[in-house]
Amino acid sequence: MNIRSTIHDEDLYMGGSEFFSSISLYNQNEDKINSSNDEIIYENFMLRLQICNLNEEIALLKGQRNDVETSSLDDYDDEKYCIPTEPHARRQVKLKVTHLGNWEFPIILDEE
Amino acid sequence: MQDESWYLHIEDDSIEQGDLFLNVQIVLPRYSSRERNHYELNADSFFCNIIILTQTCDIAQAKVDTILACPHQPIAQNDGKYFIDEVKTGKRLRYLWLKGLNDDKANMTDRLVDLSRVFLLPKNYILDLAIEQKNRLRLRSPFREHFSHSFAHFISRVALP
Repeated sequence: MNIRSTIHDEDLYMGGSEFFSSISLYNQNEDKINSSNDEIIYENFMLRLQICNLNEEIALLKGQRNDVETSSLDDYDDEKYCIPTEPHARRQVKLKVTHLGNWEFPIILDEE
Repeated sequence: MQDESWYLHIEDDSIEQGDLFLNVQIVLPRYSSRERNHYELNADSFFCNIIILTQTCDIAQAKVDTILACPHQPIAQNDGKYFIDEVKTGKRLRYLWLKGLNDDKANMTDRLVDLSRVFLLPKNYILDLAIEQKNRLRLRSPFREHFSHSFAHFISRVALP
């Protein structure tokens, strides 16, 4: 399945699971669309996006393919927005871990 | 000689509330400033000593896959006798005093537990530590219950902003 997905800024939810359908799908190869895929699930530590009703979006796209500007994909930074290019993909995110050594908690003396 | 009845020496890999672990790696996520609804996710890592807060039955019956723990550390010289006395007598709800232990298996000075800081750790990681850190100490009852009650007391205290 060769579908690229774009989520608008206002549709990006942090720290929860939200349902929304206002996504734009760019079909690069319509013949390979597998309409049995209902959802794209992406999990990223504290970030979870759940996109439902993909079939409806695909059907919508099929009827509006001429309106889709696939050229905009070249400018879209999937990596920055953490959007998987494959449905059902679970992306591994590399974290930059800063090692701070040993730690002790500060004592609060002036607390009432 | 200090009273050793506060603690049990643990040499197996069991985990219970009141278990003390040393040099535990804590990883806290760190988010960059928000920009265009996007966070860059990184993490800070540090080492500290912890005491297990999660109920023993929840661990034993596999009802949790994460473990709650509070940090503990030796009492420093500059903490002050007056302050420590207040902690001992329960006037400082944020902290819990743990008696030290000095016997043929352990040499631990008096400790302070910070009840206002709670870390959530993967159970598998704590299991690995339990295997790795033999001769651990475990709070005996009723000191274990006193620890959990102190946390409940602190977190449910009546306070104003």
